[in-house]
Amino acid sequence: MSKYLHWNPKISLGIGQIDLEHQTFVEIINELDEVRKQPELLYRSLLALMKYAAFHFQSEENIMYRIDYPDIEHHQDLHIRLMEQLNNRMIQLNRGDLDIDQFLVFLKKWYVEHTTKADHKILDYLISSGRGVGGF
Amino acid sequence: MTAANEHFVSLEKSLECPVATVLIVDDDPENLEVMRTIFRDTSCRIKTSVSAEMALQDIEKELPDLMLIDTRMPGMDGYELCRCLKAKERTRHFPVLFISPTDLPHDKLRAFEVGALDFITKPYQEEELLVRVRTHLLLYCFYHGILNRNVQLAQARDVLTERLDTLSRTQSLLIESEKMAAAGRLLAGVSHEIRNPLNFICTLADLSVNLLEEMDEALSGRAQDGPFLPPPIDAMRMLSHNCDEISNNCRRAAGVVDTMLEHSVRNRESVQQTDINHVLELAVQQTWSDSSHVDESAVFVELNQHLNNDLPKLSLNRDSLLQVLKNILHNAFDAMTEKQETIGVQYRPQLTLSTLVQDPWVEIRIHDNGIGMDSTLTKRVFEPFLTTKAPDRGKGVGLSLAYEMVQKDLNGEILVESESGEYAEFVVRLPLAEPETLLH
Ligand SMILES: [Fe+2]
Ligand SMILES: [Fe+2]
Repeated sequence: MSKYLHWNPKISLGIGQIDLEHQTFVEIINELDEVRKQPELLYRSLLALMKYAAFHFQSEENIMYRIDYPDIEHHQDLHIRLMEQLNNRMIQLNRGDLDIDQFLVFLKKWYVEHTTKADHKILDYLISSGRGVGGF
Repeated sequence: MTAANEHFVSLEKSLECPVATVLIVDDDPENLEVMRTIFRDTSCRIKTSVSAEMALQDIEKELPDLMLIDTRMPGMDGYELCRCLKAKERTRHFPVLFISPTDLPHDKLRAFEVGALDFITKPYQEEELLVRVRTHLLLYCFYHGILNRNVQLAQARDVLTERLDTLSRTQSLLIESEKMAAAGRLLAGVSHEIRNPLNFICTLADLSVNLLEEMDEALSGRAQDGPFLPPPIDAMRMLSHNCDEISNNCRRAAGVVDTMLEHSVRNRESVQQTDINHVLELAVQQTWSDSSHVDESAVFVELNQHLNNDLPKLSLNRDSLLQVLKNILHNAFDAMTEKQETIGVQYRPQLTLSTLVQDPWVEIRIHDNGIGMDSTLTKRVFEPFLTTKAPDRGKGVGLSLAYEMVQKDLNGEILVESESGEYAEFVVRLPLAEPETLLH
């Protein structure tokens, strides 16, 4: 995995709002990578990531709610699980216990896997239920 | 040290938790591990349960002091667990704090509805978590302290109530025994008064019987040589004199019995139209003779009377009033005797009695210039047992008995005013009319 994440069409869902949020997400992850050696900045970027993640997850869950997405609970659990992990990492960072490299590897891996698998299922459902992506 | 440093130190101190056991319930082992590290430097002992069901089992074995519960758990969730705890008497008051990965408003409301004390959302700062836990542990400590205090207070109150009961029983016994003693004193006086005429009557009757026997023998000629036989006419005079004396002494004894009946202490229930001035004078006479009887060195007291002659007669228990006034007067005589013992001949004891109408009362004022009382003593003078007198001068129940009788038997009031070393003035207030009469 390269040092920086790059936005590519494989990640794109074709749902305008979600794609936009995912791009911002990528930017914050890359920012984390850049400040990995500066604890104060790292802390601030991690805080931004957590807040943006909370916002994006809420936004994504709202869309799932609007389209009656059947697997919403499971998807929500995945979001919550990440928030809990971010919270734990934050506490470890504050205590000086965090392995930053390992954390960044984990984060990038989680992001790519989640957007290409779990989030992609939302698109699959939209297409298979004949709703299309026009409304988003 | 800079102000910022000081702030940091005080914050650090405030993070100290009381020694306590905290049970953390979370299905995620990593969360539990992070929690353990957060509490590592505190005096809290951490226990963990990986599910609500496990937690319920664990607290059966050992009750922690506080629980931190994850809201979202497979199976029974945090809210349900809290509801279970609040439903049991053993864990009802027990502090429950929620930790939630979401901050949805309805989650918070639900948490407080089921009885949680706090709702901590992720991401949280570890200091924040510690402060909140510490706050609720302290509250719980205070709550327990107050509970224990309440139990102690209730126990102390029971003990006091019991002692008060004993005390008031003792008080009634004492008052009763004081009444008995008063009756006993009266009886002793009465016996003494009756014994004298009875002795006379017996002697005179014996003499007369002997005289009659001798006359009988003389008249029947069985003792013609008797040298001591008086002439019949003299014998008749002697018999007549004896009979007169017997009759006089009988009247004297009957008079004593009448007086006794009049003053009988048992006669408490009877209410009669009473001349207050007359009862006051009677009380002075009786107290005077009582104290001169008891005390050889009785004081010479100058008596001033300001009695209102237009005083209406009051319908009341005359014997109770007499007893009340005698008890107050006894106290006055004692106070003056004691003052004379300390000051000597230049002291002139003065007793001033007044009666007056002070609507709605008739007031009887008894003023003595004896040793008086200080303000502390004045406040407590009607309590039983309280006495400044030497042991031979009464048991200190007299005034408390007077207080009781004025309130209960006479529906009146008794007040006292005094200055230590100068004077004491007792005021007995008697209602002008019976309460029933006032109503109509
Ligand atoms: Fe997403
Ligand atoms: Fe997602």
